[in-house]
Parts: sequence; structure tokens; C-alpha cells
Amino acid sequence: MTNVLIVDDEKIVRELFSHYIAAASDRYRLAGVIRDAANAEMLCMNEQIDLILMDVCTADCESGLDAAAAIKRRYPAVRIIVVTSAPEYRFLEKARAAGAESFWYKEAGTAELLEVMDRTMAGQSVYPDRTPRVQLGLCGSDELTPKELEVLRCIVRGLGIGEIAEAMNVDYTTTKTHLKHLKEKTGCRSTAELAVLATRTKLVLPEY
Amino acid sequence: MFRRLTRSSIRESFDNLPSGVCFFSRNGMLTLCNRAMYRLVLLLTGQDLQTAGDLDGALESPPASGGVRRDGDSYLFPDGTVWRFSRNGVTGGGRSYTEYLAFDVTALYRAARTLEEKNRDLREMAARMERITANAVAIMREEELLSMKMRIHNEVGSSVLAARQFFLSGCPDEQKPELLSRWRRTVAQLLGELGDEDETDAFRELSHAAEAIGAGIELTGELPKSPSALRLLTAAMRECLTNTVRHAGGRRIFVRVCVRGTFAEAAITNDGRPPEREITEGGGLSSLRARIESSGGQMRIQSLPVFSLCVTIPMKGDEPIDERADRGR
Repeated sequence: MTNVLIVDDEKIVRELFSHYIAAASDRYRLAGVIRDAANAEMLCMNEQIDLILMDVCTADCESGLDAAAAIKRRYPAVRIIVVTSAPEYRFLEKARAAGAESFWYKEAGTAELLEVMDRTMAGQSVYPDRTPRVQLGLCGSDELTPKELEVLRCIVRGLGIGEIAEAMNVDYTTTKTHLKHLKEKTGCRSTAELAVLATRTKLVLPEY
Repeated sequence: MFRRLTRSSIRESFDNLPSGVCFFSRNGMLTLCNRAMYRLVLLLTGQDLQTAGDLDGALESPPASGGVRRDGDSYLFPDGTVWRFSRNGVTGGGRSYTEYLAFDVTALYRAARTLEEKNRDLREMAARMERITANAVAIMREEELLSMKMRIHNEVGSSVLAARQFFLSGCPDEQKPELLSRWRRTVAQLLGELGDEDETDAFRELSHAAEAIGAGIELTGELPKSPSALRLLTAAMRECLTNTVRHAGGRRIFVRVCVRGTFAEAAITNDGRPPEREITEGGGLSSLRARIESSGGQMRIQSLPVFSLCVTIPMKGDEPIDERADRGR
């Protein structure tokens, strides 16, 4: 029997996941349900937790990815499936770096979550091939280069061109070129418009 | 071809200088003034220039009648030009004079204003971005919620269709338990959806997690109302509690909180074994320190004879927890 901990700040999501687990009671048991990812590591101290369904943006702005990394450092046997609905382009990479076994987008169906849980417990790592494509003005998010995405992240953080160049360790002119390409591809006329678009589509959520 | 410089040619060039220039003797009487300076002073004071004192007074606070407006070191004239004045002591022919110079800085002033406006726009934009980013997470939660509700409603629809099929065409006995189980799940989901929203905060959530591992928090004093301060204080309690259970063999932490002005102060101790030596801050404590100090707070650790962690956390003027919770749901 696999003991599952659900970490999600939305009651309805917690309820739904609980029902999924109840529906597969032959192999899963609900060990706990919490809203705040920062408390997940504490529950791993005593509870027999085998699998965590870990949301990324949890209560009190605590990051499920940070919590996953901390849990994997101390309790490597606990398996973690990162669950999110945000198409943030770095979440997949961050989840892998944190050591999470699998990753699941909430928009998928019931069968898929149970399937991902089964495969994860069977020792597989289940990750989507790519972040879902979001429309960013005139182009799709998959049309942006990694450098352009990095510039976009810096813009959302409120950095100016000079600061972006410094943060990315590139020169001022290169940064301006990236910015120019971003505007051409998206059709945005200003950096503010770019930032609003990136945030509204959840392509960039820098605090997580 | 060489042309001789005469007194009048020097005077003429002096008069034609685009900048204003004038000199006063040691007793403050006007000695020499060019045309540009004469024009400026006339606009500034409405009268002829006589003494250095008159000019100093006019520069200090330009008379309203002249229509000249002062903006820091710059003087905005009614004709749209902007000038800056400077005063220096000079000597010539063994005598001391006070020299006043006036420079046309119209282009520079306009460029500075434009830059200032752009910087203000950028600051406003950065503030707007911060608000948008903060709202993005709330919007995402709402969308997530909607998506989950749609999924539940789809399941209701699917159960209704299956029931309709059952009543219209009957249902083989072996499929009845599955139909019944599907309806049980659907009703349970609907009850969950319709149930009360869970209202909790970071401290209560931590207390429940502590209870789940057989530990506890004994609180004295009142928790801060500011959500950001409460979050940081809860993070400090969480760190102390996990360290107490993990390293000190303890089960309880004792938290004494008091609010002083715009700061919340807390001292956290525990019922575990005292440390054997000075504690070195590891990942958890150093990341807690970084969070507290970046918010403008302070953190002090005492290792011996018993462990205690004292934090001072600023209480920002953010909205009460209840309002925040309502908005995010």
C-alpha cells in the first residue's frame, strides 16, 4: 500500500485528489492533506509517506519546488510528483533539479494522474516532453529562444536593460537585441506590455 | 590680415556673448555687465541691475512680478528659456571682483525633465508589474479552481448519462456496483465542493502538522496580524520545531511573542537537549536568516547554555489575513 500526502492550497483540488486516491484504494492510502508545502518535510519525519502530490504555488506563497528539493535531500526514498496548472517554462527544469520523480499538469484527466502515480511507484520518471505552449501575442511560447525567455523573466522581475545585461552576463547591445526580437515576435510595443503578457499567461512566475 | 583690437571691439564681443556675465566691485557695486545678463536681470527683477545684493536677492527668491520661476538651481524664464547662475570671486589689476555668470541650460533642463519623467514612468511600471505578478498567482488559482469544477461537473454529467442508460435499457448485474460506486464518488465530490471553505493561516497549519508528528507549539502572547510577519514568524517556528525533533530529541517548542510598535518580537526555546557546542547555521537557519533580514528584521541565535532563537520582524502595513484569504479563493 502506498501512503500518499497531498500538498495543495485549493480545497477543491485536495478533495478531488483525495477521491482519486479513494478510487484506487486497492493500492493507495491517503496519509495526509496539507495546504502549505513548507510543512511537507515535517510530516515526512514521522508519517510513513511514500508519495507526495506536490503543488508548486501553495499557501502563503511557499514553493512546492523548494519543499520537494528539501524533502529529496533528507528523505530520498519519498517519491514526489509535482503537480501544477501553470505553464511556467522553468518548472519542468526546476522539478528535475529538485529531484522530483514525476511531473503532471492538472489539466490532464483522472486516469492520467493515477497512471502517473502507478508508473512513479513502479520506479519510472514521468515528465511531459515540454511545457504547454501558450500564446504570447503574435507568437507561441515555443518560438522563443532560451535567452529570450531569460530576458522575459528579468523584465517581469522589473529589471532595466543594464541590469538584465549584468544578470545574464551579456553586454548591453546583446540584451537590447534580445529585447528587440521579443517585441518583434510578440508584437508588443513596450517592455511593460511584454511583462504583462508573460505574467498573464503564467509563462513567467519568478517567485516560484 | 591683422586687425587691431580696440576697447569697443572687446566691449562688443563681451556684449554679444550668448552667456550672461557681470562683475561687481568689492563693495557690491556693478562694474561691468553684458547685454545678455542685463536682459536676464531685467526679466528677473523688472529693473536695472545696480548691486550684487539686488541680484542675490532676486536669485534667492525671484519676484513673482517678473514671471521667472525657480526650480532648484535652474530659473525658468517667461520666454521659455532656462538659465543657471554661478558666482565666483576673481581678481584683476590688483583688485577683487565678484563675477556672476548665467548659462542657457534650456536643452539640458528639458532633457533632464524628460529623463525624470521616463524614470518616474519606469518606477510606476515596476510597481505595476509587482502588483500584476502578485495577482497572477491569485488568477491562476481561480483558473485552476474553475478547471477542477469543470472536471467534477463533467463527471456528474457522465454519471447522469450512465443512470439514464440504466433506466432506459437496463443494466447488467455485474455493472451495477460500478454505477453505484460512480454515483457515490460524484456525490462525495459535490459535497466536498459545496462544503465550507477552509479558513486557516500559516500558524494553524503548522500546529496541525506538528500534532501529526506528535510535537507541539506552546504560544505565549499574541501573534502579529500582519500576514507577512506571521509567515516569517511561522517559518522561524517551523525551523526550530524540526531542529528540536531532529537534533535535540525534543517534542515541544515554546514561543513568546510580543508586539512592539511596528515590530513583532519572538523568542523560541524548546524542551530538547541543550546543544553541546555553539550551533553552526546550516541551510535551514541561514535561509531563515536571509528571509528575515531581507524583510528588514533581525535574527539572533543563542546556543549555550540552552538554545534560543530570537527574531524581530517588521509588521508591514499589508491587509489582514482574512481579507487576503477571501481574495485568493
